[in-house]
Amino acid sequence: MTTNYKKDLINILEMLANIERDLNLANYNETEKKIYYTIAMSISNNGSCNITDVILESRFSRSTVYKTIKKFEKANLIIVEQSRNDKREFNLVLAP
Amino acid sequence: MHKFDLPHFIKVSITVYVFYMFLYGTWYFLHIQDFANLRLDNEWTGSLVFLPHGARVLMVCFFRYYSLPALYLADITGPSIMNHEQYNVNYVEGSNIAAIGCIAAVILSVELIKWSRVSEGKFSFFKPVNFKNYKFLFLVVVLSSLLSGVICNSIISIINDQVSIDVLTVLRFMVGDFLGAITVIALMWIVFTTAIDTRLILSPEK
Repeated sequence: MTTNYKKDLINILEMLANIERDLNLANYNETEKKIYYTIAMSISNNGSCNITDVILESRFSRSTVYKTIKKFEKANLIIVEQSRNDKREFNLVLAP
Repeated sequence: MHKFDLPHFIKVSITVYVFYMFLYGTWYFLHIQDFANLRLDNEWTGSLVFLPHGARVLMVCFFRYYSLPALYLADITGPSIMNHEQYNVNYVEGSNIAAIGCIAAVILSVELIKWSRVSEGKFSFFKPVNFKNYKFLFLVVVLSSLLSGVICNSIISIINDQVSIDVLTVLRFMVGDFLGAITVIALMWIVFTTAIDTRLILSPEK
């Protein structure tokens, strides 16, 4: 059974979580941050980055990388563009 | 009828006292003892960020009326324990009663928020407000800082005939309480974010 004291403490944590969610400064876990840094590093070093590069560089599974990229895309952190050379390939661009 | 919960009251009292004294101690050692080597020319500059007001607001908002005895005890024992010598010489008469005014300012602000129908249904002093929405907490910080400056200084000037309070002192109290409370909430948020990031605690959302 949750005591009143615990409930009050949880309320304080939830208030802080709400600030965190609204400010959205660090709303990503370690894996997601690593994938973002991998994309940024790859663009910086090679001038471009596609999903396969991220999978090879980060060594995370394809599904993890896909899921994370979708999350970044939804948050307007990165833009997924179709490659001009190969229509099957998608390039990742950091959103301005 | 609201039932009094004694174990809860004891836990809350210990938490409130320790939290307030921690903030008062931090503020005192940074400001008066100048441990951070701030070298403030004006001894009052430190009161522009009065951290213990953060404890008043957070504790009243989240632990409600259970927090009041410990909060008052901390408010009057903080200065007398931390700066015992200065307390006996420099503190103006009525400081202990003015402390009631500062806490009353927070209670008034919380009740004003309730009255403005933040909490649904009929008005009741015992009805809790959900401060998970930090915007209400921010409102309490703003209101309580303004009220605290006025109420606290009014009490001091009524009790002491020889002490005249000017507008700048009232303003300093208002700004100090506001910035102090905001700083405490911001620091708690940073600690919380770091603890989540390093997986020391699990996010309450998960």
